[in-house]
Amino acid sequence: MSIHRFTRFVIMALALSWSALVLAADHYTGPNRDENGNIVPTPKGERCVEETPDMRANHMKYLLHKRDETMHRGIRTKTHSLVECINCHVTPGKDGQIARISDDSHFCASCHRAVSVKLDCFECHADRPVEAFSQLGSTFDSRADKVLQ
Amino acid sequence: MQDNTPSPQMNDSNKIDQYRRRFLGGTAAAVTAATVLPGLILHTVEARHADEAVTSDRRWGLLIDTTKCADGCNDCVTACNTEHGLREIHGPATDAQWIRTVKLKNKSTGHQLNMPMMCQHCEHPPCVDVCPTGASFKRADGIVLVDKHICIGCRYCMMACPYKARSFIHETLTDQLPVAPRGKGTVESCTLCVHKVDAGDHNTACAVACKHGAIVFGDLKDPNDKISVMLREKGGHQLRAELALNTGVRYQGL
Repeated sequence: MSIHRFTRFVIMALALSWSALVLAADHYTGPNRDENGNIVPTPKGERCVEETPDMRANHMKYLLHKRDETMHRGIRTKTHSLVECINCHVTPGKDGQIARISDDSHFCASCHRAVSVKLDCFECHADRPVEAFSQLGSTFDSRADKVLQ
Repeated sequence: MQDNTPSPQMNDSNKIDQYRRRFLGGTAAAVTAATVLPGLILHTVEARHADEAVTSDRRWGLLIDTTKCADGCNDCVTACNTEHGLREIHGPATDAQWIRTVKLKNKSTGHQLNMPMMCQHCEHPPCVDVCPTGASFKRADGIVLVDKHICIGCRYCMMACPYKARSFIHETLTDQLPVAPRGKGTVESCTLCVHKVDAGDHNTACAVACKHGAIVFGDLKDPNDKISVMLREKGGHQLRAELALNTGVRYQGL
């Protein structure tokens, strides 16, 4: 193989792998969306605390940073708080039911299933918004609403 | 190099913010004291902002009066379980227990006393000493906690604790509460209702639930807080005081 053919081969290989990546990124559609492209179930807030591409790429970093700030330093701001993410994004679907992490329609699960990334947040953390617990009666009425003020 | 060092401007503005906050805080406190009753200095608790870290200016603790603790009453335990979503799984041998009631009887005199036992929130916690990952830690305000994100479930802390205050979670849990994330393979114990403390509640679920008034929660570093006044007037014992752990939970009537 001459040096030119080898160079051409390398360039072709790089181009192919790049286009494969682009195709994969195109195929990735993010959370469940309706026919108009809106995320379903509908998030509560008007807009997210960060821009969507930023959140897509960095939500895990934000959550990790906030986790340590809250756990060790007692900082309980709402921005980047997992509880607040859930409060806003995990809302009742068309059937009026709030999805659990085991359902495909759960906001976190919808993406994580699609990209085959296992997440273990909800082995300990609540996968439903705080208001879902206050509706469950006295056993669950743990003043959780107050905590988030 | 330049990127890593904070610019002098940043430092100055931070300082100004601090001064402003302190000045505003001071003014607010003074105004409150003056309007409520001139001449009478009230104890004002400056609420911590959500974005401010906890500091060692406070040390949270409990004072338990064993003479008020009633035989057969379990209200504090029930309240704790409800608050944190602790439910029965396989019975008392393995279920998590953040607070329990203990009955002591002196066989020679027949004298009997009851008291609740929980994490004693030591100043020098043995559980923190032995933790190999740093999961067991003491917050600046004296609350001893487990960071379950980095707990590997080795249970060294459970063996080190002289009060047997900690529990290991053996089973997969479901339906945990938003305020108390808990999960299989980690160790946990009384958090001194840290979520309530951070929300400015100034109380714990057990203290609220005790209808006999046997549990008082407060700031041990604040001389005007009820807990400090009571300790000053009647004293309070540490359990296993000989270990010199300087516990944040104190007992009267032992």
